[in-house]
Formats: sequence, structure tokens, C-alpha cells
Amino acid sequence: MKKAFVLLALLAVIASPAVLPAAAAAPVDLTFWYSWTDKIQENNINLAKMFNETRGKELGIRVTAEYQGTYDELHQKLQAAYVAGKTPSVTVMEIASVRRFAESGVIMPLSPYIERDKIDMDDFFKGLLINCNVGGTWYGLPYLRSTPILYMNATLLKRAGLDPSGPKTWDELAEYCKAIKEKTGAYGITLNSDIWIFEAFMLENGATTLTPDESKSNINSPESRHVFAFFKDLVDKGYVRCVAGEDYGKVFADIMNQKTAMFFDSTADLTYNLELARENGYEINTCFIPSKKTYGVPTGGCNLVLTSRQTDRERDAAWEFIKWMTDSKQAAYAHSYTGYVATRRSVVELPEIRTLYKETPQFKVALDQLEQYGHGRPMNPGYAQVMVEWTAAMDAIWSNGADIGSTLSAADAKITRMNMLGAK
Amino acid sequence: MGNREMEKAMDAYVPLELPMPKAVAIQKLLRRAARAATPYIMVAPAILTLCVFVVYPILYMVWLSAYRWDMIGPMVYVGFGNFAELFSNPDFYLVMGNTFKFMFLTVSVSIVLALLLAVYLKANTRVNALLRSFIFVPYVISMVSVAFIWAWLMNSEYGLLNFMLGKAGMSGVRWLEDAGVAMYSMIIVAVWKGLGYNVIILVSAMHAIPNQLYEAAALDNTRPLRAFFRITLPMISPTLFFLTLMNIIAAFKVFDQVALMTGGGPVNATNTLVFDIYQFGFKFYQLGYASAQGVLLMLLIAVCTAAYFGALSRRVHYGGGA
Repeated sequence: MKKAFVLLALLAVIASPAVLPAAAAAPVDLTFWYSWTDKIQENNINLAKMFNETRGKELGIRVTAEYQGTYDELHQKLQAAYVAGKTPSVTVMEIASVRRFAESGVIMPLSPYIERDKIDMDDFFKGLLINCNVGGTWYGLPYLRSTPILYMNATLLKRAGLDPSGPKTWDELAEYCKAIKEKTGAYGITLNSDIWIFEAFMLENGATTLTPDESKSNINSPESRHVFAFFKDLVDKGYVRCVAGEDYGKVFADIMNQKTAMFFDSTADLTYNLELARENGYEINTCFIPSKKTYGVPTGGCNLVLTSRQTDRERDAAWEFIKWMTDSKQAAYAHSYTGYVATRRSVVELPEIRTLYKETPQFKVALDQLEQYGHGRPMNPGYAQVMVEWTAAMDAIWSNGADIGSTLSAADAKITRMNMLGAK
Repeated sequence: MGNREMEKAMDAYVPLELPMPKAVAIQKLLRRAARAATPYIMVAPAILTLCVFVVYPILYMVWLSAYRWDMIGPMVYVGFGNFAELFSNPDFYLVMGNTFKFMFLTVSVSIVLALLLAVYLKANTRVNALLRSFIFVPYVISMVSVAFIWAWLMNSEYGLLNFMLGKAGMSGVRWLEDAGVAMYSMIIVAVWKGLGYNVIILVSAMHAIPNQLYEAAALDNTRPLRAFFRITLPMISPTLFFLTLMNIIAAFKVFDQVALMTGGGPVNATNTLVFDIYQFGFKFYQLGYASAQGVLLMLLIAVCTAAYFGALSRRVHYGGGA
């Protein structure tokens, strides 16, 4: 077997002197880690297969895609693999974790490659690039990315005599909730204690969850208190229901049973929500998350990153894979297959995507929101701990009737006392 | 006994008179060494497994508790710093309070209920045999399924429990969302899950009580309640003690149920020690702090185990000819 292979390789070199000697000598085997199952898994496997059959074949690169659970699980395994000295070549990475892995040297800068191959970074949407960059250096390229949007049960909105294109401002949002509850009996909004959505609320008030240098939390800022108060008021009046906890599953029960008219959810769930609506006999619409001082949403999802512990040859091959995966055509494939956002302007120009938007205009809403109002997420490794505090505050205030002032000042004091955002 | 005879026979093989030829002496020495080593070689695989998967991780955890480490960065030695941080963190006392509350209520309710049920189910009728296997079912089901099923039953809007409360004219309970109720919901699930095991063990312990005792009691016209407290309870007390300790240890280690049903919330109401360890270790990547908590959990369980063995050596033996 080995002999035959060497012979073949020799023959190949003799037959076509133009072929890269390295590629002909032995193919480079790469491992690619990804998260999640279903559509997302199929998308990852399909793309890896396509790569192996086209670009990979040309260059002598063979990629094996391996499933690694949720983002958290993947990150844990990546660390263990790094300590053990056996990391995958390429992996997806949840955007808020990029800094931690970059600073500890697990992943390596892509900047030299980006400069060498003249990748047009301006083609990517600006909001998606923030979490690809650590201290001015590129560490990742946007892959399966999303933003939250406002989903609406248009059938219920019409029944309440409301414009099904949705509320534009927070005042309108409150009016919608009131009208829906009074005329249909359903909740205006069902939400859960989700920090990602809260980040959007903060952005719309012209603030962020952490200070710009990420050294302090804004949990007890006037903007944060305002967000808490706004929704607490709606909850107290019975127009809005807040399910405790960060588990989104409980919100879906309200959605399916049409017990709620509006909900905040990731664009990545668009295909799923459309299907759900079809099965349960209602119409679903999407619109920007209404504006307070401005519109604004964080982005989410994962980037593709390159690990540091591999040979130069593997690294070069891995970069070729990342480059191919994030290129317009593949980005378009992932976008339409999963519902994650289009990552590049050039993707939107492709004929297949134009057709998609004509057929399903809900996709376009997410894109417009991202293009104009997309932001990044905090990347301080201590944010994980702050998020837990924030979730607890939402649980306390929105679903357990706690006092806003004392809850938030206690949470803020705790974040400071435990030095959650300091250097650990 | 057989061992010693064999030893004798083997010793007899080499005559003990001196002087001995050198070769024979070496042979004898080797054989002795081999004989001495045999048991160690036999238990080596088990010991090795134990060392790799139990002893080493424990020592490593104790060692880690003296460092600040995020798994990929450099390790910083902090001595008892993690423990100092732990004991000065008000959340830690909240978590310990939750853990002890969960432990105490789960164990006491479960044991008392199991005792009552065991008394009822110990009679060997066909119905009881069926009931005994029914009650054992929850113990066999995986905790993941149990957690999901109960999360649905306890859903405040659609759950069966609130539906039934509604039918009975009562207002619903927000089982898993109300910070004042969530811990009790956890306890209900834990009791439901563990009850069958306790009942089965207690029933078999009751079956082991010699029947003459009850016959004698019946001759004396002893009331059933008195028979229970004077015969049944004392006779099963070793089993009861063992069960209680096993239940306590299991309750201290509660994790999957918390992780799946509430995620430690709402507002930390169901955050217990092992869940907190997981959170600090694998969500916040503070391995040192998590290890310090781990050391504490280990000590807690060690105390329980020591109490068990201490009591075991002193306990009174009842009945049984053995």
C-alpha cells in the first residue's frame, strides 16, 4: 500500500512538473472541530466534504470534521487538548472567548496570512469583525454568526389591530404589549433571563454591559436600571412574562402555543421559527429590536480560528481551509443552509442569495440590522462570571419581584469585591 | 488454613540442614521472593487503576487548590489563598446553606417515607411485589430523563401539577421560577427518585428479621405500633443507619438535577456545592478556587464515612445466627 502510494506520487511528480512537490509527496491531514448538531452539523460536514473534493484535492489537503458538543464543551476540550499537546488544526470558537485563547497562545494570529493573501477585510460586515480582533491583531474570521432580532406572531398582531410590521420604538413596544394582552389575552412578550438580549437593550440606550475598557460592569448604571425598570413595569402589569433562567426552551412553549405575540431570538433560529409557524398555523414576522436612543444589537456565534501547536506545513494548509470556508460562496451556502447571517457584502450580491431574500424577506431584516447596527460582545475572560450575576439579577427583578435599586447595587458591589473583571 | 499447609510443604522441599550448597540457597531465596511478590502482582492492576483514577486525581486536586490557574495560562502559587477567598465569599455560605438544606430535607423525608412504605409493602402479597417493582422504577431511570420530565410537570404555564392544582381550585405554583420554592421542587424530585431504592433495602432488611420475634410479640398481645418500635426498628437499625449515610453522601453530591432543571437559579436559590464547583471550574475557569471547594466536599464526605465506620465497629448486633 505504502509502496504503491510512493510510486504513484513519484509518477505524479514526473508526469506533471508543475504540481506542488509538497502536495504530491503526501497529503496534509487536518482536523476541524465544530459545535452543535442538526442543520449546523450538516452544514459543517458538507462544507468539509466539498473542500476535500475541490480545493483540498488541488492542494493535497484532507480535512476531517469532528463534532465536539456545545461551545462550552468545545472550549473545555480545546484546553485539555492544548495541555496534552494534541489540538485540532482549525476550530470554531464562540466570539467572546477569542481573547482568552489568543492571549494564552492557544490560537495564533491570522494577520500575516491575511496580508499575504490580500484578504479584503472590508468585505466582512464591520459588526462581525470586532470579536475577531485582539489588540489590533486578527485571530479569527467570521463564520457562523448571528444577531438577535424581534420575532412577531403577525396573526396575533392583526387580531389586536396592530401594524404587523412591528414596533419601532420602546414606547411603541410597550403599547403593543398592552394592546396584545387586552385584545387577545396573549402576552405581549415572553422573554427569559438572557444576557445576550440584554446587551442589545443596553446598546439601544447608548451603553454597553461593560465599560469600554472592560474593567468594570455597568450593571448599576442609569441605563441598566432603566432597562430593568422598563420591563419590570410591563411584567408587573401582566403584559410581559419573564421565564427565570438562561434556558431558552421554556420560551418556545409560549411561542408554539401562541401564548405570546413577540419574542427576542437569534437570527440563527429563523428557519426553525418559520417552520414552527407553518406547523402551528400562524404567520411570523421579523423586525429590528425597537430603538430607544438608537437601534443596536450584539453579534453572536462563532469564528474560525487557527491553533498554534502544529507544523508550518499543517498551519499553511489549515489557513487554506479557513480562507476557503469564509469565502463568499461557502459563506452563502452556510447562510442559506442554517439561517446564520451573511458574513460578507459580496455574499449578498450572489444571485442565489438575492432569490432567497425575495422568497423569505425575514432574512433581509436581519441583514439590514446587522449592517447598520451590529456590535461586538465583551471579550474579558471574567465576563462569564459577570453574566451569571446579570442573569441572577434578571431572575430576581423580572420573575421574583425584587427591588431594582438594592439588587443592582448588591450585584455591582459583588462584581467589584470579587474582582471578576480584574486580571486573574 | 490450606495456605499454611502449602507453605509447610514448600519449605520441606529444601532441607534445612546447614551447610547448604550455594545454588540451592539462591534458589530458595528466589522462590521466597516470588512467593512474597505474588499477592502484590495479583492486586497490582486494581491498585494501579485506583491510583490513576482515584488517588492521583485527589492528590492533584489538593495540589491545585494551592494555585490560581485558568487551565491554559501560567499557574500562580497562592498557598491557602483560595480557601481564604472561599471563606470570605458570602456566596459560599449561601451555597453551603443550600447544600445542607437540600441534604437534610431530602434525606429525612426520603427515609421516613421509605420506612412507612416498607412497613406497608413488606407483606409478601402479589400486589405488593408489583408495587415494589413500580416504586423502584424511578431509581432505574436516568437522572437526565427524570429532570426533563419533572421540568415539564413543574412548568408554571403548561405543567400537569399546576393543571391539577387549577382543577382543585387552587392557584398555580411557579415551581422552578420562584426563588422561594425552587429548592423544595428540587427536593421533591430527589425524594421521588431515591425513594424506591430505600424502600427495597428496608423491605429486605425487615424480611431478615426472624419471625419468632413477632410471634412472641403476638402471644403477648403487643400492639403493632409497639412491635414496630420495639422489634422492627431496632432490628433494622444497622441498615437504616447505612441507608441514611449513603443518602447523605448522595445528597451532598447532587449535580445533574440542578444543572438540568434550574442551572443553580433562580437567583442562586438552588446553587449547591457540586454545581458551584462545576461553575467555577468549567464556566469561569478558576480551577484553583474550584479545587478548594472540591477539597471541602471531600472532607465533608470523609467525615460522614468516618462516622459510618466508627459506628459500624461499635454497633450492637441483633439476631441472625451468623
